Amino acid sequence: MIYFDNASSTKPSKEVLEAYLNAAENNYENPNSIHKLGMKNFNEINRIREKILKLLGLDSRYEVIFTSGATESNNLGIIGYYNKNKSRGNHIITTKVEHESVLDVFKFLESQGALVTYLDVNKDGEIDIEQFKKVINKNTILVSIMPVNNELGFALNIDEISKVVRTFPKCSLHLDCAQTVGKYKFDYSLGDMLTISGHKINGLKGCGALIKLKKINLNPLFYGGGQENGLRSGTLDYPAIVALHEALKITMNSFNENYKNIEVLRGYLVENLKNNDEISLNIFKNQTPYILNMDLLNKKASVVVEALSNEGIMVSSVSACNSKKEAPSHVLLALGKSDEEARNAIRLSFNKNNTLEETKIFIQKFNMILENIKGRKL
Amino acid sequence: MKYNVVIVRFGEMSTKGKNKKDFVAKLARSIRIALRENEDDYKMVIRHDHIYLYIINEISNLEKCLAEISGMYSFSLAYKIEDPDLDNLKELALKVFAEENGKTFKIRARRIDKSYPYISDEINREIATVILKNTPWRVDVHEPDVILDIEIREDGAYVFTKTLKGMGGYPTGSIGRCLMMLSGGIDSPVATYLLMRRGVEVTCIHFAAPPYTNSGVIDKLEDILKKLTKYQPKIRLFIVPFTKIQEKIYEISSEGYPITIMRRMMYRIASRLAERLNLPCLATGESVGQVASQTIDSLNVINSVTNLPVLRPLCTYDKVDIIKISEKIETYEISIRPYEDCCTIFAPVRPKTSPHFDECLRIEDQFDFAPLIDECLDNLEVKYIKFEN
Repeated sequence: MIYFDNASSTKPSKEVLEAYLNAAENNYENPNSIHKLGMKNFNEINRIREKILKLLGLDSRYEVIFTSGATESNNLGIIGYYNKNKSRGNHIITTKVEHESVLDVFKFLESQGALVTYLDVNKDGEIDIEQFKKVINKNTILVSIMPVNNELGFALNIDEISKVVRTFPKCSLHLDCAQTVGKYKFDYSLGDMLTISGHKINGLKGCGALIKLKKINLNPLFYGGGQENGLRSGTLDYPAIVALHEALKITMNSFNENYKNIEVLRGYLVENLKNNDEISLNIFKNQTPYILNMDLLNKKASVVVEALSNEGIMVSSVSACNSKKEAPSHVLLALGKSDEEARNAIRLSFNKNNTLEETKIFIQKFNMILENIKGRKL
Repeated sequence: MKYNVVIVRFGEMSTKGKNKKDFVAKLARSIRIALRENEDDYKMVIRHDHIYLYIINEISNLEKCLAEISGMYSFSLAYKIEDPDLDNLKELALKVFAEENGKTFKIRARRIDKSYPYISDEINREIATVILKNTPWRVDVHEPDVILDIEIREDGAYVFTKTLKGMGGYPTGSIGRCLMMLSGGIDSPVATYLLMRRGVEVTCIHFAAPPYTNSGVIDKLEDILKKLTKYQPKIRLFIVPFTKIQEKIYEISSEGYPITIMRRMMYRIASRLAERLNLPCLATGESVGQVASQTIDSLNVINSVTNLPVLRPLCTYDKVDIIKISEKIETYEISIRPYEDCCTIFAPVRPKTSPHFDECLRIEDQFDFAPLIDECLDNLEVKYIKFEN
């Protein structure tokens, strides 16, 4: 099996599973219990918080709130922030290319009375900074943007955005980094709140974090035992937290080496696909090598994905959350593609586990499939 | 008061003549299969008019199990006493009414054993008198809240207030066998269920055109058929590799005709498989007028490729009614799982609602499909779906 769908989810690494199993077997005590075993876990979690900040190059102005993953982190960082701070302003900004767990949250807040601006992203995958300057105002309390896009892999100009946001003291910048961590060299301190997720970096599903500046106040999404300073009630999942840290540690420590390898794989694919008149590659000036997106000019994406899957090659059309709906990609639409193009893009996404040999097999099978299957225009 | 016997009444089988005993034996078999986990908890006695299930130990989901067996008109949860002496009946009736809810009642006695010393009306009056004297219940012979049935037979008296409706139809497999064309949508599972209920043993055929159809469809079909094993414990599913024919059809068909030609090819292949399996007829989930290929004109053109009878249980059903049944038999949620079936990729923008014979023949003449059809039949995949709890 060749797995090129790593932006959907990755295979947990052995170290992560071992760390999880070990903690689940031996450190099951509730970290909020006041006996010594509970305290031990609690203290270890606090050490892990510091280590996670350090791995991301963040200082002690930040804190880590453990959540069930990126969707919850985005909800907490946006809804929790808006509800706490709406008295200071009612305007919030995002882009048209965000993941649903951000876009739909903004739509929800819009329905609750928030003023929302959805920024355009140009063909190069950049936000027009002049447009942004015109939109942001004293009433703006939150900007939420993903540094690296999950469908196309382009990297947005967060540094410029961040500079502008910094000139508005009431406004915070939330960055959904689920697809950034391990995939792109990035200065995480550009954001005031950051979303990270375990299962995108060879960790486990069901664990992620919202990292935020301590000075930012949020309302919780749910209430209960008051864990995480009251922001995320629910028993702390010590084994999952250990696993998240393990995954992040491996990812960050091997970042450069993996990045170079993936650049080679992707380079090989681009070289062998760029002259194929069945497809058009979606390539950007600034982008992660971990994602390669292409439009199919004559074939239906779901059929090609199915054909590749029957050959043992797993790729996705649109993003996995979307691909069972028959909807076009909102990201491609936002970049000015036609409805037809936005329905028929496929995404290859890589991981350190992938090899050059696999990309060679892919090219061979892919060409064969494009040749054999019937097109959508008959 | 706990019932100690279930009286099972036959469906339309009572209209049968000498072969009735075969039907009854098949019904008995269906009951045995449905209650196989409790085989020591009851004793079955088959008589010419009813089947009796004498309960030894309580069977928890008995009512639900029996309600899902085809060929059963109704069943009553009864209390049997060996000695039908009138005093015993009175005592029993008092116990029954102490537990029933309601205000009005009616006694309905039947004296099947004519040697019993009282006629039915005398039994009615005797029992009713006791109830009226000793309880607040009142008689209403037109719209009673509770009807107490008393059947006097040679082996004792059967007393019951609760009669439940069965599924009707004929026992599974008692009517004959057919080959059902199953797509995995909402309609074909419902059609399959209706056939099973009518006593037809169903074998299924599915046309898969990977990669144009998703491999998830096969999982989906297995899940659907698993739901239907309640009514037919073993179901065979044949999967036809249809891709090559499909591609060829779209290559040579004129505007609006691909679906018509595709259906004709499917019917041809299904007929060949039916012959091979000795199945005397085909069945589909088609409903007249639902889509372009299901207009009367289309059905005529499509049906003409086979000599076998084609059963269309849903032919006059509205979609909403089909959906209601599919919800009842729990296949709806599975059917609506989002996989592309029957090649939505190839669906023409304007399919023909009244295709012409001549045009179909002209299109099919352009290419010799026979070798491809043979290839399909040589490469069938077969799956057996069995009942599991």
